Amino acid sequence: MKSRKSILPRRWPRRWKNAASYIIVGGWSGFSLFFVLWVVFASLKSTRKLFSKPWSIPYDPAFGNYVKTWVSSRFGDYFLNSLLVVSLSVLVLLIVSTPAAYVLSRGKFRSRQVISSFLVFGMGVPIPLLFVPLAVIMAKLGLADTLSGLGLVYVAVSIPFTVFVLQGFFSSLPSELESAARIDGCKDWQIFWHVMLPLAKPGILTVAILNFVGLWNEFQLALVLIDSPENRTLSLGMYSLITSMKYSGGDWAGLFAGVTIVMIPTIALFLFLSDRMISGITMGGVK
Amino acid sequence: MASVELKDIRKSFGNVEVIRDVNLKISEGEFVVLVGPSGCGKSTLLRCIAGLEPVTSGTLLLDGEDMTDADPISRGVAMVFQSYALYPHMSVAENIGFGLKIAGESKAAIKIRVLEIAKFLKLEMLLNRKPKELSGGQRQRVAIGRALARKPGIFLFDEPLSNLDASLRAEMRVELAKLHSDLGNTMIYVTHDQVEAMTLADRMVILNAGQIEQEGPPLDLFNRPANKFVAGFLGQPPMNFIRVNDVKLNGRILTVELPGGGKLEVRGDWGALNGTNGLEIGIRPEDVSVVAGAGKLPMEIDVVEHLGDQTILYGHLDGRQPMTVRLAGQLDYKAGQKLQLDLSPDRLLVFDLEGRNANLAKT
Amino acid sequence: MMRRRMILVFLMPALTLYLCFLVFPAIQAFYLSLFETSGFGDNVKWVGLRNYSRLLTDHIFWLSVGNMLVILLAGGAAVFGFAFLFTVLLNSGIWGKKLFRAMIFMPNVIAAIAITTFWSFVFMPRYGLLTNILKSIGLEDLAKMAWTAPENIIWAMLVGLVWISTGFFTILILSGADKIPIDMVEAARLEGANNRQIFRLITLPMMWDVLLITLVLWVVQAITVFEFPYAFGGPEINQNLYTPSIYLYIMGFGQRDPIYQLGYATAIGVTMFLMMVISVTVLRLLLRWDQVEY
Repeated sequence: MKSRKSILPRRWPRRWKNAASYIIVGGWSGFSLFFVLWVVFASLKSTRKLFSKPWSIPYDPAFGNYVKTWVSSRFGDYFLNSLLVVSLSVLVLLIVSTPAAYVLSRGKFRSRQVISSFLVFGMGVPIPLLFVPLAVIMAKLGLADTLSGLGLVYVAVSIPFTVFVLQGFFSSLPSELESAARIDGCKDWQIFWHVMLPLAKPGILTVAILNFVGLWNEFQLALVLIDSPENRTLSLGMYSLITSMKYSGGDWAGLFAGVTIVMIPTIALFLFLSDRMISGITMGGVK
Repeated sequence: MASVELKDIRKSFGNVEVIRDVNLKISEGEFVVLVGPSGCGKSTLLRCIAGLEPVTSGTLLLDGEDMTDADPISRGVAMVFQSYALYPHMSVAENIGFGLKIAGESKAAIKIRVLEIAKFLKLEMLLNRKPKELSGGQRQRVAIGRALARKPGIFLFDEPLSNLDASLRAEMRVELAKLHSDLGNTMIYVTHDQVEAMTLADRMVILNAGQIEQEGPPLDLFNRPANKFVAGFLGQPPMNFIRVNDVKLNGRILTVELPGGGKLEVRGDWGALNGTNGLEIGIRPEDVSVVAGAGKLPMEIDVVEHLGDQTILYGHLDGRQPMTVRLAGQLDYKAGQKLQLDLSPDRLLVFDLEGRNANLAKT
Repeated sequence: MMRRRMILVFLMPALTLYLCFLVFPAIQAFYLSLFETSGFGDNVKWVGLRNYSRLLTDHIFWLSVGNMLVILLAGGAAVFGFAFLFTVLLNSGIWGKKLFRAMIFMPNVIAAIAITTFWSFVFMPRYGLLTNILKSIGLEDLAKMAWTAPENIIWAMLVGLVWISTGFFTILILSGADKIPIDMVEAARLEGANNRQIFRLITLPMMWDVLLITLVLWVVQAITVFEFPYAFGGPEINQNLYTPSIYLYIMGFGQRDPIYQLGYATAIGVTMFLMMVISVTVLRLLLRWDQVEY
């Protein structure tokens, strides 16, 4: 990759310019790393030690914090709830969005552009606008305070972005492949199943990860649609921990144990798949 | 095996008419090449024959049956695409066998047939590779193999050699010719390259702006072009067209005055000639000779190209009309030199105001 | 060639879910905003535009809009400032661009509520990390500042919000800059252009469409932001942290004491939506959506 010159004053020697760049960029990046490390360390201290020695490395880790958070603060249950809702939602989302995106990108029918714009427009709807109506609808459907209700909403609000990105992926596949498949005798759905779908796997994977991370971290819709503690997702659990802290004294260490539990899955995904995630966002945003 | 008949075929995309009034008959086993400049509609015509595009009007008969609205699979056609269109996620074996799999053949039968084809095309070592691991020539053979798998009646080729480099192209041309003589299927081949067209075709169809300019055996089209377009399309460097004055017609002899004053007599059948305005003489660069002393046509050289086996002189006649001469061997000519040219009498063609070949004896 | 049946079958599930749980509720929001209701059956009262006129004189609402503007403008300036800075630095030929890019982005994959706990701890008066650092380097007076006092709390929150958001927007701006063909920059350099000229005459115009999209995304985010401020403020969140969406939630669902003014809450939502539409339109007009072709 060829280098582009920096904007720093020309008169500075190259080495100094680079050093300045490294310091600034490295500093900010380092802070991200510091954040993770600090939280993990904090979760392994007792609360008292946390306040007295906030910068120390815990050489005698207090794993009990985790046990407490997982069991008595119910984080174990919340974790499973989140896992269930998010995984199923992403699955349903993919099953529902992929064929739609395919048809919208490669089909030839008059209302194609209209429907496509109609779906994509949904990305611009502010979620808070839907708080009240969704609560009402869920109550009417008997799905108030259920994880299935939440899951349905999760799928629906994720459809615009997912269809948008997948449409881009399908459009990038060469149409000669379609012609070849038709000559080979494929019917329309066979072209999708045997040729187009396998080739869209990278796009599907990207969109799956992005949605998983987004829904795992989702908070506001869960706040509105879920009431009872048994049905809380992990983010709601986190919030309830914060809230309860005000009334039961500051168990900050346990709080940070909770934070660690919440962030480990997404950070893990990110470590392995950061390239994919970042390219997915830029594709979606830049198009 | 199949014969193809196109009757009054028209194809429009929206308001743009891409193919107008094409009538063509292709017999069983013929190798027909559709050739023409970019945008002439040859690929579209091929896709219509394949069933990938619906025709706007007209009839398409395959083996006498009306297949105008049939889907590709019922037409018994197979196609090799310009960029091969191999399925990237499938191995060579899976690519070749794909059509059979869709047709519902048993795994065993597919395996046998794939092996047969692989042997025929020397692809046995590559069966488990993916297309991206293959060279251009290998991919082309896989594409041909995929086309062969279902034993189609008609083979369609859409500029299959355009993506190969020159040396490979010559090699593959020979292989395609051999394929045709081995299999004997009807083959319809689209290209913009006249060399491919001339060498491969039993019959050549020259298309321009959606219409057939002329069709027939390649040498017929070369020697007896129906109009200026065909005459100028075939042959490299292209034919010279010289505007002439002072035309006199006397029975079978047409006398014209060339730029520079020389007089030329052309023998022929001028029955269809109406009017003597705007006539042009057509003569190919290789049919022009340089004479010492007085010749029919004076020319001044602008540029000389030495190709080793031939020398090409680009220049102009009196009155600035351009002229190209192709001579064999390595000759010592210089820019600015003035020459006298002679034109081979039996290679002369005459074109009228509309560009038609005016000599009935030469069409 | 796709048969109509396949098109229908492939589209229907997604369209249905979309219509039922996104479009229909959105439309219903507009409708509901014309009523006064607590959602418990009988007391649904038509009030027409009264909710909206009430909004106009509701000082808490305007406080939330003010907070939103602080986030939008101050936060936006910070986020975009950093994003551009990082883009330029990352593209200046240093090693490890991809690594740094990933690390700058990383906070974005962590849940907002998880992050707020950290920042609350940082800004906690007397015992927080910030006071700790300031004390240890001797800035005693600064250390005594009450970061989470009502006047300051929004700025404390903003620090954390900017920290999370920068990564996302850096990625977008970076991708826009990466799209510019290096040949163009080199050709300009050959013709004698200096760095500032190149930035102004080549980089900026060629990134215009990405810039516009990124700005729109930020505006939408700033107008609808809910999670981070809400979690930062904890239970009984201070009004100085209210954003329009937080106010909406409180009006609709209450905090400790339920309020359930559903009609009013929805009116806030509709107003938010209108603000969004207007801002995006203004942005597009201001920046005149021309794409540069290359």
